[in-house]
Amino acid sequence: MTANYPAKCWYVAATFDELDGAPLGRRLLGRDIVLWRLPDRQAVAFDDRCAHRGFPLSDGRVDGDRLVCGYHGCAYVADGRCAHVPIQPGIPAGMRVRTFPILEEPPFVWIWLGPPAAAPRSRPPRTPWLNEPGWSTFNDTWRVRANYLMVHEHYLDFSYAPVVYREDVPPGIERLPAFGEIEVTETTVSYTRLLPRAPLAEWEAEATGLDPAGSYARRERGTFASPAMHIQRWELEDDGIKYSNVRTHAITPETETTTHVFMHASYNYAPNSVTVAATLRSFVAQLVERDTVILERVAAHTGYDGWRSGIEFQADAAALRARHIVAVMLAKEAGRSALRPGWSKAKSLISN
Amino acid sequence: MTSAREAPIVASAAKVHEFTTDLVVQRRHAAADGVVALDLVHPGGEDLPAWEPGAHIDLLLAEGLVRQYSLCGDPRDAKTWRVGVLLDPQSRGGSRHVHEHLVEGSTVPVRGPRNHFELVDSPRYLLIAGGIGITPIMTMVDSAQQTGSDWRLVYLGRSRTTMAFAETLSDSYGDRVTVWADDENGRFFDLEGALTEPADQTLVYCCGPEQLLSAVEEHCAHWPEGSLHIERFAAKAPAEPTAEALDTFQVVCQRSGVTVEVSGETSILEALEDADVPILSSCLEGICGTCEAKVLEGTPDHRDSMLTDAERASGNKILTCVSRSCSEKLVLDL
Repeated sequence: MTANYPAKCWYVAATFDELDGAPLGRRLLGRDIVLWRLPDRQAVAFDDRCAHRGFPLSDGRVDGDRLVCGYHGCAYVADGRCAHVPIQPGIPAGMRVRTFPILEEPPFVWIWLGPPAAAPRSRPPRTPWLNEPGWSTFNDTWRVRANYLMVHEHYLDFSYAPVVYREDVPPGIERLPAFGEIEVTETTVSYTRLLPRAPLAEWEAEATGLDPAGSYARRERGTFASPAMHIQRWELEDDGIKYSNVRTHAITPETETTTHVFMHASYNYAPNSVTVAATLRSFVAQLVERDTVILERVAAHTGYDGWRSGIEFQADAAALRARHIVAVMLAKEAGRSALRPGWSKAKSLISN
Repeated sequence: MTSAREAPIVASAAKVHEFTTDLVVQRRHAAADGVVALDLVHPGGEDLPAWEPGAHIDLLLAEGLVRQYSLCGDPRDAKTWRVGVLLDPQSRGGSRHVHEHLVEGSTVPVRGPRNHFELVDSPRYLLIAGGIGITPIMTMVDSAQQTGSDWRLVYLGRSRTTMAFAETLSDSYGDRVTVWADDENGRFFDLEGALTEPADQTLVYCCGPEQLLSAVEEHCAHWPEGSLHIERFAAKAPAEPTAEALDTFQVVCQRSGVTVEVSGETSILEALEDADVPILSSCLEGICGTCEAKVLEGTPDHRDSMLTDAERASGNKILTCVSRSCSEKLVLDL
C-alpha cells in the first residue's frame, strides 16, 4: 500500500528528555532522521546520513555546536552545512545534509517532514495538562508493528473494552453505551460517552481510594487531535469531585507498517502518593501490552487494508471521521480536489 | 457486495455536531466602505480549532438567522478568528445584524470552521476575487506566498474605496496583484483575455458575486478538469427540510447523463451501481462518508449519521447508501 500519512503535519520525533548529549537516530515517516542538541539546548534534526558515504550520523558524536560523523570525521553545523573535513583543507562546495523544522514544546520534540515552507502555517495540538500544576504525569514510549491509522482507530473505538479488558471495566457494565455525541472540526473529531452508574473496577478503587461498592458516574472521551495525536479521558465522579485520567498518545508513523507511540498518562488526584503512581503505571503498562498484541495480531494477519475493508459498526463513527480527515489531507497534498469524485469542481456557499 | 441489504438502522446513531462556542468581538474596524472586519476571540482565552485557507464559520446571529463568513485572518493565530462582513443593502437581516449589533465586547455564538473551498497543493495559482469575495482569497495569497508557489491575484471591484484590503495587498505583493476598480478604468476587466490560454499546472480559485463566477466558469470551460475551484455567496437561505420523504423518486446524474428511478427497498447507491454510474461505497450504513455525492438540485431526506446539522441544512450533499429524497427529482453531480 502507499503511505497513508500526511507529510504536512507536525509529528512527535522524541520526548524532550530523550535528547541529551548523544545524537539520536530514529526512522520517522519512512525516513532516517538524526536528532541532536546544540550547546544552548536547541534541538536539531538532520537526514541521518553523512553527505560523503552515507554513514549514519547517529553513530557519530556531538562536539559543541557540531555533529561529527563517526566514519571520516566530517562535522556539520546546525544549518546542515559541513564545516570541517579532516582529510583535506577545503570543504567541497554544497556539502550539506538536509535539515528539518523542529518545535520543542515539552514534553515533546515535534518535527516537520513535509515541505519546510509550509511548516510555520501549521501548529501541533496543545496539551496543557502535561505541564499544568494539579496533574501528575508518567510516560512510556513503545513501537507497534501496525500502520499508524490502526493505532488511531483502535483508540478511537473503545467498544471492545468489555471483551479485551473485562477486569478493568466497572463491574456490571456488559457493553459500552453508544456515543453520547460526536464533535467535529475540519481537523479533529471527539466523542463523548456517558456510562451508567456502577461500582469501581479494581484499578479505580486502588487509584482513587474510594469505596469500591459505591455507585459512580463516568464519562469517557476520545479525541483525534491530528494524525499525530490521540487523547483519551476517563473521568469518574464522586460527590462533585472529578477524578480524571488522561492518556495523551503521540502517534508517529515509523514506516507504513510500524508506528512509534509516545504516551503520557496524567491524573489529577493523589499528587503525592507513590502507591497510586505505581498502581496506575502498572495498570497502564498492561493495557499497552494488550493493545499492542491485538494490533500486531491484526496487522500481521490482514494489514491495514484488511482492517479497513471490514464491516463498520456505529461505534466506528469517530474512527471513520478521522479516516476521512486524513483522506482529505492526503488528497490535498497530492494536488487533487480534497472532496469526493463527485465534487471535482469544488463549489461552496457562503453569505458574503 | 451483497445484493440483499437490510433496511439501515440509524435511529441510535450518535448526534454529530460541529464545534460550537460563544465568541467575543475583541476588535472591530472598518476595512472598506460598508465592510467591517471583526476579530473574534474565546471569552476564556482558549485556543480555537485549526483552519486552513478557504474555511468559513457560521455566525448564529439570532433564532433562524445563521450566516456563513470566510475566515480572513492568520491561520497560525489560534486565539483569533477574523471575518470581513459587507453590509448588503438587500440584507435579509444577516449583514445588517452584524453591522448594527456586533460591537466590540459583544458576544456571538459561532459554529465551525468548515472548508468547502480548500486550497489544493499546486505549483501555480490564479486567484480571482470580486468585492467581498476577497476574504477567503486573502488567506490563499498568504499561503501561496509562504509555501513558495507562483501566484497571481486579480481583485475586481466597483471602486477602490469599497475594496477591503486592496491597499495592503498591493503594497505587500506589488506586481503579483492586479487591483481593478471599474470606475478608475471605465470598463470591466477582460476576464476572457486572462483565461484564454489554460496555464500549465495552474489552479484557478474564484470567489465573488454570481456574475463573476458565471463568467469565470464559462471562460474556464476549456481548462483541464478540476482546474477551477469556486465559492458562491449563498443566493438564498437553505430550505427547511419540512417535506415528506417520497417512496419513489428520480435521480439524475448530471455528468454521466444517466437517470435512474429509485423506489421501495432499493437505495440510491444500489440504483446507481445497477446503472454503472461510478461511485464508491463502503459501510452502507451512512457512517463512513465514502458514497457522498454533491446535490445540484432537489431536497435530500438525510438518513445518515455522518453529516453535521449544518451540512444537512445546506442540502448540498447526500450519502447515497441510506438517504432518500423529498423531491421527485434529485440531481447529483455524478
